[in-house]
Amino acid sequence: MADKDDLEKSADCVTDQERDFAQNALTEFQRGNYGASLQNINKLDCRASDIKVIHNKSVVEYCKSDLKKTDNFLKSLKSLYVQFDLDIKKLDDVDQCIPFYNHVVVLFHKREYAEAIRIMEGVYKFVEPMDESLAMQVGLLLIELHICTRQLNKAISFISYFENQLFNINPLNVKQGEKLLKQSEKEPKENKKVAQVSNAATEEFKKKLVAYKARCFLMTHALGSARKEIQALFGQNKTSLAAQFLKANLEYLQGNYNEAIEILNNIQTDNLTYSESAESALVMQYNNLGAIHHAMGKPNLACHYYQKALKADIAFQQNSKKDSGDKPLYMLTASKYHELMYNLGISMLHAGRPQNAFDCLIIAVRRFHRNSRLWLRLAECCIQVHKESNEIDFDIQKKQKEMVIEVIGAKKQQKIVLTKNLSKDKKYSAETQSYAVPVPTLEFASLCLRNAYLLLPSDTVTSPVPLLLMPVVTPPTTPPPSPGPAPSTPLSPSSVAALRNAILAASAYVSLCLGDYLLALEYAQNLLTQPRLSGVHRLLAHLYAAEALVLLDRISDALDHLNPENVKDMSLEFTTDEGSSEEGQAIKTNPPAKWFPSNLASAHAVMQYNIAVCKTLRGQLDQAAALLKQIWQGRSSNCKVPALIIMLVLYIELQLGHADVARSLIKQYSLQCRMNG
Amino acid sequence: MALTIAQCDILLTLLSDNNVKTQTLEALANDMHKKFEVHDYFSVGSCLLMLLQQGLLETPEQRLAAVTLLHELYRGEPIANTPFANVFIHLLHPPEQQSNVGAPKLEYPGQLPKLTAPEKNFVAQLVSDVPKDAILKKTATQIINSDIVGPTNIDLSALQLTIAEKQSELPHTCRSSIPAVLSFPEKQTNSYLSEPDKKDEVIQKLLTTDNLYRIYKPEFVTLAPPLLNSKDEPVWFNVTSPKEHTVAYDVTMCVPNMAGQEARQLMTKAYKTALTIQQQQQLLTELENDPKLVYHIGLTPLKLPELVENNPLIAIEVLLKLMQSKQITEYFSVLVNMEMSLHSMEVVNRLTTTVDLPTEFVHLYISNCISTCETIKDRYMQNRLVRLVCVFLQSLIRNKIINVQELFIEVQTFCIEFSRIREAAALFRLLKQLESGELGLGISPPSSAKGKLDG
Repeated sequence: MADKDDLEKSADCVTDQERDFAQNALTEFQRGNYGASLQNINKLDCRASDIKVIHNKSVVEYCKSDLKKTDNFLKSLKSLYVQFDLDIKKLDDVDQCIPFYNHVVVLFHKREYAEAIRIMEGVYKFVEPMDESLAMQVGLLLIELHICTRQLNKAISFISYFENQLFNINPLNVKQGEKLLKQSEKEPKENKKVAQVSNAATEEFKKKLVAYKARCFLMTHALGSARKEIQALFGQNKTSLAAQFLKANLEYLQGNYNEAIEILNNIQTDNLTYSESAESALVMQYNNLGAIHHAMGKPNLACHYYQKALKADIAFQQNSKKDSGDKPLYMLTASKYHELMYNLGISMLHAGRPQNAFDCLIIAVRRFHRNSRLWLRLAECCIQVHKESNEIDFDIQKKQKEMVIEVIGAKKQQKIVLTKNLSKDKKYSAETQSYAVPVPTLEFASLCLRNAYLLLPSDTVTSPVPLLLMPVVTPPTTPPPSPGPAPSTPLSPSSVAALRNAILAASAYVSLCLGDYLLALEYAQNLLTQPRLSGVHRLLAHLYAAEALVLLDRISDALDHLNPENVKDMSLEFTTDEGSSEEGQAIKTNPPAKWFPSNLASAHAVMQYNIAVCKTLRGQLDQAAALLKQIWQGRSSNCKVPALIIMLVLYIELQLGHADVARSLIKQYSLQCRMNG
Repeated sequence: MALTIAQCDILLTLLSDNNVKTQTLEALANDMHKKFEVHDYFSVGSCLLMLLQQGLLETPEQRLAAVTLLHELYRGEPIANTPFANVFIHLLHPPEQQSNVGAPKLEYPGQLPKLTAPEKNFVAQLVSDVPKDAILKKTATQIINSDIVGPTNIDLSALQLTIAEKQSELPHTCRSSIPAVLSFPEKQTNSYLSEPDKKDEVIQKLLTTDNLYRIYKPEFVTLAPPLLNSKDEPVWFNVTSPKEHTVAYDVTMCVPNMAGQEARQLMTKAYKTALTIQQQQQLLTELENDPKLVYHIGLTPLKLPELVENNPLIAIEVLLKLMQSKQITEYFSVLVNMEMSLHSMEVVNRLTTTVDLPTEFVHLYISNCISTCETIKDRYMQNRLVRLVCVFLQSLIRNKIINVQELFIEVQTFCIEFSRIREAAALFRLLKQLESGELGLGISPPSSAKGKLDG
């Protein structure tokens, strides 16, 4: 303690000469003459133990390198921490905030958000005593960090804190101003000037807060509030690129795709380039057009735009590589490669190109490995590679060709060999290859789904509140940010529920296909207990549970699940009367949903077919045959029936000893096709 | 794993018409054991079965030899434990072939050839546990031509039961398979009369490929789930101006903080000794004039206890000014954990009457007070502290700062423990009155309570 007091004292004793040097250094720094500034600081050699001198010296050196020697800067910051025993946990002096703030700036540009937020929270405690301009910078970065990590509620509360603080400070400023005027009637000019400068900065700060607010509101889908803020932005500056992009975003979220496209197409992209601003309007434009086309249900066009954006992004990457040496700080992670890969992967998946989608998403997941939905998407790619669509199960033309796989011999000794399985869902793997190899297989899908389930955002919106009072004087340790939806916007509670259901359904399917029917049953039952369930998921849960139960030799339990009464609708989403109240304004940016079978009649045909399978297994062949006959007769263009039905009829005839009937069935359905096809 | 083509040939030679007619069954079996390894037995058995099922053995002798070999494969083991046990039961009790008169003949998948009575007799002996040396010494021809007619008196029901039990242990899905190879004789309609029936090719294709084990069982329709249909999933890019977040220069370098110099010096003093009333006034006035000054007087949470002990009035004013600060919880935390004293209690008391303190804080502070009273050794100090706490609590209760229900048990225990002290008894009475509802909570606190604490 004594040392510190001494230090403080020595810091307070400044010679006039030293003060001049410092003043010159500051002026030169503000003019951007970093060399001259550095010379002045070097003259302050005798104050080698003054933390501010050492700190400013490294800042100026860093600026002099065009912010390229980031590693050196970090090193000098860290040695500063050691020399003066600084620790963010024990920070108790507002004067020591600046090095930490600079550290956060570097971390932000390196995208090390968790660490950045951890330090920033320590700095933020001193935001009131802080120098006003620094406080503003801290505020903006703090908000940006929380937007980056999609902690939007926190970001919004910070924004409103800074707004309120501004409005609270203003009257105080007035008071001070009056006082100053009274005090110093000798030099009123200077004072006025100071007040104006600070006001201009405050105005600028307010404008930025508005832009931040608009971004937050868009991300939280509070479209009404977003609209107000965007209008305010346009009021400030009609040609602002930021405002135009935000406006397009708003139109997109409202489902006004054509308006959004028009705004984007009118944007002048030359004003904002990577080399100038570390972000490229061109990449942004292409990407956003991609997002709009994805929402319009044109995934192939979306892919096209994403690929253009990627091209632009990669071109920039290669250009900047050509420039020798280190990249400036703000260029370190300026590339949007991973986000673009994510978008591209999603659209590829919707376009029915699961293999390509998988390759894209596996790149994206390296950065966004805490995104539950992304893991589900990867699993969906694997499933789609495994089974392109359910339509093949209903394609009688194609399936009947596959019934007989070989004809051997001739004449009296002619034999035919039936297929082992007509449906190709099951794949009991005996390969020794590890599941963890990132290839689009069901085995890998099972791992992805486990990740997806573990990373699901918790239902409870509020994270556990850190206890207000701690026995020891330490700032409450913040829990690691909960798994977020980054890079996408946060999920509403009903989206989380839908995500959970989708994960459970996919898990049950993959487990069944891999022959893990105990697990499949567990997933299916879990799915059935979910409070909100779409019609399709209810159907699937019952089907999966039934199949797993049969494999567990609990056929009568399985029959309960297969009761067609269990499924009364084929909705792909939650019924709206539950959802609308909570969501407020409806966001309509989901591509049109499609799934096969699409109607209740076909779904019931599947359930009845599976009942027939159960009965057959139990030896109730006559009942099964009758049921199959009923299904077959009910088929129509509206009601598709599973193609497996012919094979099951064949099986039943064989089991009943009606070999001749079976032979004529084969002749009718399969051999002819083989000959014709 | 199916047999290799060479192995297949060996097996077929063994079963050739000539061979089975000339050699005894025992010799055939021994030959087989010599030519095949134990790990091939299952494949050999499957081949034999396939030959039987598909009618690829022409003479009855060959068939009988095949059945015998199938049995002899697992010679010495209890028949019920061998994989082909069921075959023998089927041979002895074939399913009905005629459902009713006039209907076409029934033909089941994987049906086995029908045996004659002497053959049946032989098979029955084979699977029963009678000695078999005698019968195996015969050739197949001898057995077929023997004149034993009519049912044997060998009882196989026990064996049948064991096998049936074993079967029923398997799930239905395992029991439902049928062989996938179907006999499909071509109708002789056209002129390819001279074309051979390619029997050898048939045998080879059935025995040496996967077809040997190919089965079919009823399949479920397993629908793949739909893609998750998600709103606002693709990332939308907005302008974020990352360049705006850049490093900061410390403008206060070599600029001594002159403002509040005096206030700071007074504070440094205030940690160590009590300030005079005049000094106190000066400090408070300065703090009053500049609302931000409070952050620059060098106060940190760690220094708060010293300030409280020496200058409680200053501490109160400073804390009130820091109420909006991010650090206030840390100050509270220090306050609640510092050693209990008259001054600290005074500070807390004043804070409770001026601002809304977090409930947890007040409760924690009270718990701390109570436990300090209980653990203190010095009897005189204890009495003093207990009095203080009691008066403090009364004040809190009367001012409705705390909801006594939440601390009722703790406070009541405290009162009973120190019932020898007058103030504790009074507090206890207050609690009882509250409990019985005698005391309306609207009653304003008696001035004496506050007066005592302030003094």
